[in-house]
Amino acid sequence: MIGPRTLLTIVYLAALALVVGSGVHQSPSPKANEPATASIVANIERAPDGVQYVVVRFAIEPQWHLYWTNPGDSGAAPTVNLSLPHGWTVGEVVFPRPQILGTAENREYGYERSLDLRIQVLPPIGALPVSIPVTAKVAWMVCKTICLLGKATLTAQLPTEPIVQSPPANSRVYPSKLLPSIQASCQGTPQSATLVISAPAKSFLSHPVRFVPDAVAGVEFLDGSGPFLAVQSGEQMNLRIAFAVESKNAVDGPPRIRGLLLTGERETDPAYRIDLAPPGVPATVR
Amino acid sequence: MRLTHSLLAATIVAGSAFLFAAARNDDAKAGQDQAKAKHETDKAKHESAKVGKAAPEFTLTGADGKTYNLADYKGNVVVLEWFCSSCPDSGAGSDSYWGNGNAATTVAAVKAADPMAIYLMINSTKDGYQGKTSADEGAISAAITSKAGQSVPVLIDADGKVGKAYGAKTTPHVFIVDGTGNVAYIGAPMSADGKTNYIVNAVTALKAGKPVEPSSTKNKGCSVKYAK
Repeated sequence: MIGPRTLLTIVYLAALALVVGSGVHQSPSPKANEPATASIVANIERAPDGVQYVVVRFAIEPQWHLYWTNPGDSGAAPTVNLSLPHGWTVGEVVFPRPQILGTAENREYGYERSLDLRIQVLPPIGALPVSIPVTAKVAWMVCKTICLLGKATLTAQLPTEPIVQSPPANSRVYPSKLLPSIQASCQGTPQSATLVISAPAKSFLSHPVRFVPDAVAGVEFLDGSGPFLAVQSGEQMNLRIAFAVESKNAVDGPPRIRGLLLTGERETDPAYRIDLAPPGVPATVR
Repeated sequence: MRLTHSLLAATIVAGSAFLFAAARNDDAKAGQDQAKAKHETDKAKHESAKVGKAAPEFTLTGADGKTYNLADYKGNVVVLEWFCSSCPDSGAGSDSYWGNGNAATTVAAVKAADPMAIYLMINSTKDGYQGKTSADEGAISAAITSKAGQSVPVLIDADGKVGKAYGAKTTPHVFIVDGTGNVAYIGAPMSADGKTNYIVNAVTALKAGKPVEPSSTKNKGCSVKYAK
């Protein structure tokens, strides 16, 4: 006869198995010869602003890392090509706040342990089927002291009803819009320009405050790969970063001055998007 | 009661002074960290090749035992490609630049565009990386290019001096020197989608006496495994 204590243990283990199994659609663990593996998360997610995302999740072996959209001095960012049924629109791939890796001589921006890439999706107007087939062609470079390339074609059948996902407390933040108290502008000429960021120190709950540039064709930050540290002067935090714009090198279209303002050291500390037109072009801040 | 209040006030004042000093210290340290980072960045900048400026001179020994002097190629366009045999973007595996055929196609197209152009690979991998001597690395690298059907001299830069002089960060990383000895292009060998071959475009433009556009692109790949 099974005692109450044993019964309770069985019930507990069964409940644990249910909780662990429900969150992710077949998320494989990385193996020694596959330091990173990818999968499609089981539900379309809806953010507080209403934007919907398909999420591609990477599991990464200890001591290995994947890369941010600007990998830094070396590396290569993962790529995702998402295919959805006719009528759906696929938007940009959103990377979370990166870690600052490497050294001053070889600066890298990337992710250890795991990475969730959010791909914006927009359903067509009208009635939707209960679920849709989703295909994601994914490619990546994962590095430790050596690097390996990986690729996969992932498929999933996702419910069209999105869920509002509450991320765990220790999960990485995604960049948000610049606070109104943070002033960012580009000054000078295309050949000799400065990104100026200024804000009351009290705007930031976490320190240090650093700018990490995105890699935009045609834009060169003249003082290296960053990160660039804000300095406090009195009640103000200030950053001045020299850059130059060369239109003939802008192979991906009109250049923008883009990057993230990282606050604090933790992956859960706020990060703010900076996206400005270079000098000579009307300023639009996103 | 008065004594307790005085003790409390003294504690608050002492604590505030301590916190103020600590904050000043933090600011000073932040300033020092920034100054140190800027110094290292300035040092790196000073050592990097720049488009429009003279390419750093070098003399290196090839895996073939011959000596290669950049100065000997004055008047020729010179393509310098940083390479590593174990990097999956450069020489390792069928998806690498040399493994997937793109490099061999590029070398052939460069020769077609300008028969006088010189194509050199430079290997700045440190001696002993992954158990290989620099001689081993050179031999393996030469074998990779030969297998691809386009033998290209592989120059050994085990102490990394030439790589650091150019600011080579990845494998691959391409620097193209024009006939006057100035750097004309720095960056990736081709676009990420494979549709644009930046090396061939640059060599073709230089042959025609036209400006190289783009003259700079974002390089990607494994970090160069420099000796300390």
